[in-house]
Amino acid sequence: MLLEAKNIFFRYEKKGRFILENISFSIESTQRIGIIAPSGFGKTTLCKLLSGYLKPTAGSILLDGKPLPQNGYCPVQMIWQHPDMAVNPRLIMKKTLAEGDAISEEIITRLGIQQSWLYRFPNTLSGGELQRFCIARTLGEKTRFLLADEITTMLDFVTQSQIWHFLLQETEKREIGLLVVSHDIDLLKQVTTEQIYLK
Amino acid sequence: MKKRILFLLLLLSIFTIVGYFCKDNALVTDFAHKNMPPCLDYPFGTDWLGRNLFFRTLRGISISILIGTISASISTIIAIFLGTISAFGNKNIDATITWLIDFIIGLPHILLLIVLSIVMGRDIKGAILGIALTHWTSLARLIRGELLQLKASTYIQVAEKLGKSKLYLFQNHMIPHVLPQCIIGWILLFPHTILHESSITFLGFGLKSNQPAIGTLLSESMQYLVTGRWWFAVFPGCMLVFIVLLFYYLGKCLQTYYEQKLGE
Repeated sequence: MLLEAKNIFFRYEKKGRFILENISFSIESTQRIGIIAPSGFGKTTLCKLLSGYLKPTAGSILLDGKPLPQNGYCPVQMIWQHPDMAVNPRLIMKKTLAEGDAISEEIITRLGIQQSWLYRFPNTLSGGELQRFCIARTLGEKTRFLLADEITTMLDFVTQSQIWHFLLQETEKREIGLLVVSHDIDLLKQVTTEQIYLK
Repeated sequence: MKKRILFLLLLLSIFTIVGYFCKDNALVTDFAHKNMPPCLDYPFGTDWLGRNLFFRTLRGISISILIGTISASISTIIAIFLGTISAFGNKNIDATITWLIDFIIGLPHILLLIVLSIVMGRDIKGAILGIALTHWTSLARLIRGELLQLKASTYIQVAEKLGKSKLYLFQNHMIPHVLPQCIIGWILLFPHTILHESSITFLGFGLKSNQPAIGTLLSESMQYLVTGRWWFAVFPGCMLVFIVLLFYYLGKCLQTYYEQKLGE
């Protein structure tokens, strides 16, 4: 599968400044691409556009030549930078996890999620523990592309390496395209095959 | 928790039913025993016409529970309905409902209450309708705000991209968030309605003296408090506090019960 961004422009306000101007690139579902840019450059905005959370002001985002589906499961899934914002504080983790598309037991165990965590509320779990749930949730059967937006920035090195180790194995095995956004160049060189510098 | 909720509901309905059967006893006058302080025969004392205050209080509680529950429920339903439409409708609908909320808040309650009460013939119906139509505004505004905030929250957007239907989002994300606030709003409306009912009665536009709601009793007692007849006000007042507390506790129990259900 091929995910393409064609000449996309984006701004939040009608007459405001363009956050993204004329950006084009494409990624195959076998590729792992890293995007590096300084703060405030619209990295998160780009991820939101690519996964359909926002619509570009001009230009188009195509998945195998067709626009992203408006309803139903989106094959392009985004993992957010702040896991505590991406889970409902009123639901136990089991329920949040069940929102994903048939997540296998194997993924849950390999991410190091313990069974007892499933019955706890988000405010009793740490950021790293929550992020594992958020990653597991996006790895449903229909997922073809993963956008990782600074997903391990606030985690310690052991957790970081555990999570990346798992993600690389899993995406390679299932041919899921991985787009990693970060400002950590060393990390990107480790986990991706190709890096794009936005300036 | 289920047992506790049923027990509270039972208690409240017993008060309502017992009060209903005190209807005639509450009106019997006995001038041989007027202005009696509390004693064994008259646990709450008697008033200046020799009416048994125990029966009058029970009857009053029953009427007040009725006015309170019905008008608070109508109010809450209006608030949920308009708040939801406002949050999910288009710009014009939202603007209209927001304007309506401002309009009703801007209008003095007591005026609308008096007008409706007179139109409906100074009856319980008038009090219920008047209170119900004026008290939904702040809850509606709260629900609208909460829903707008939820709509924009990350976790709901994520669930949407994971292919979850609107119905699912409503049942699992929106209702559990808004329901406790609706219940609390409903409970808080209850004492409010009783106070409003008593204030229009005090002004002479509310219930008649043959329908001794707690508000009627309290406003009657005002004239006699200075002469030291404390029992005119203390017992009905305590009963009012007790009933309001029962309602509050019921709301709390419902909330915990619902959260437990979610956790399962």
